[in-house]
Amino acid sequence: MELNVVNREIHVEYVQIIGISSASVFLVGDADTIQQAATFDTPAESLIISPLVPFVPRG
Amino acid sequence: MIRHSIVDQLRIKTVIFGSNVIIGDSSKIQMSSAVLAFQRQQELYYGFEAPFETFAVFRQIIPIPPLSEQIEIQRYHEDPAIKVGSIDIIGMSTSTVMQIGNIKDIALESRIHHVRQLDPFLLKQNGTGGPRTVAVKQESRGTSE
Repeated sequence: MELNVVNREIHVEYVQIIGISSASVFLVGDADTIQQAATFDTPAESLIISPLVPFVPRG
Repeated sequence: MIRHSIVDQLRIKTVIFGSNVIIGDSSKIQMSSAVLAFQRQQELYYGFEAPFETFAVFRQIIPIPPLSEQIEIQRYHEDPAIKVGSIDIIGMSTSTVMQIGNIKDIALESRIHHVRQLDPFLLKQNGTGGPRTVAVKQESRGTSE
């Protein structure tokens, strides 16, 4: 594959970010490769209504 | 030929849990994080429970395409600088990167398992109040070069 890129002027006055979290990236610059993966698991059985016992017994 | 990054002002309040602020160039960043978040109605944290392997989300294989394809890129920087006046960030958390400059390869991974545990007795007692987050166990690993 062949890719031709012409980078013209970029001028950003102001960037306001509340939060960057969980394998995220904020980049002011150039990158060759960016690979990101994120999983968030809160399955049905993650809502447990029971006395507050430990998840695994000590042992 | 590389492109420069020019930032007049950078303001960050909080950087936690294996996060990075990089000013300058870097060649390779690889970071991963595994988070077990327990939300309980009572302030209770045992400290010995639930090794990561217990949960499928931490064992699961995430297929990431290998960097094998050769791509011919011709870059022409008509303006050899990226200009930013001011950057304002409140928080960075859990394997994140903020970089001013160029980077070759970056790979980030995050796995979170979130559990809410409610006590039926407490629910009956004060059903109006929501559960509070009382314990978060986290392990972050990160390297950058």
